[in-house]
Amino acid sequence: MAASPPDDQAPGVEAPAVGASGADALRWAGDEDERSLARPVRVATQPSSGGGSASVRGGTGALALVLFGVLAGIAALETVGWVQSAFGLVLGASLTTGSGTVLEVAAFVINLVFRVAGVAAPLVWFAVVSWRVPAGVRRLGWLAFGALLLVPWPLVVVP
Amino acid sequence: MSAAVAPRSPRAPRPAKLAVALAFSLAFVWELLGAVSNLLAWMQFAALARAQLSAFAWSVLLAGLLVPILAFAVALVVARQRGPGTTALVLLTSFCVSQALTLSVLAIFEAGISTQR
Repeated sequence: MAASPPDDQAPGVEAPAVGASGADALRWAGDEDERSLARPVRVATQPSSGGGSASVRGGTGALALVLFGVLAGIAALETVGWVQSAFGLVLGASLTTGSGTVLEVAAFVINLVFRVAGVAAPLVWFAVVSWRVPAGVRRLGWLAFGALLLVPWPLVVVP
Repeated sequence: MSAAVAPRSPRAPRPAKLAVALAFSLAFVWELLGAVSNLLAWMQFAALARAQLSAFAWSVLLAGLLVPILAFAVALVVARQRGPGTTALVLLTSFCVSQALTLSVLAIFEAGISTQR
């Protein structure tokens, strides 16, 4: 790609033409680097509140993010487990339209909707806690509690 | 402010919140009826077989009765000082958890019965 003059080049300063000698081109590239290094960087000018504790806080934030991701994965896996077990052989057999009367079909539909609610429990828990509980240890605690509470036991105990 | 408007107590449940709680209570009652139905059906089955329900069966079936009651109560306690929207979210989450726990109880019951046969 052909080198283009920097945006902040002062008016009147001539950029080397394409096809200039190799030395000029190298010097120009080096000059550009020096200018960009000398340019003030906005990030460095930001005041760092907390001083040395900033990196510690950053480490804690990264750990919290990792834990958050792990708990999200657990919620997703638990939901898959619930899908497999709730409509499996044993529990699926309890979902029936009976003899097909209106009352029994209505009960079947209600039970089906409620079973879907049970299957979605880990995701609903995760979404509601992530949305409504402020970020921090408290949120992670609630998410961990939900992960323990909503283990798909039918998948574990039913052979 | 006119004197005719009585100051409302901050702890008094608002109508919207009450309506949300009542609507969700129907779902919890349905779940409770299912647990009662299970208990009665198994009692009848045991009577037909001239046998008695084991302690394990009683404990699991009674746990199935307790799950929706406890879930509804806990949700109301958690949402006691929240608005109707948050109350609905808490009750929805609680109902989903209650359904999952009911399925767990049902599966544990089935597994226990199959090992005792």
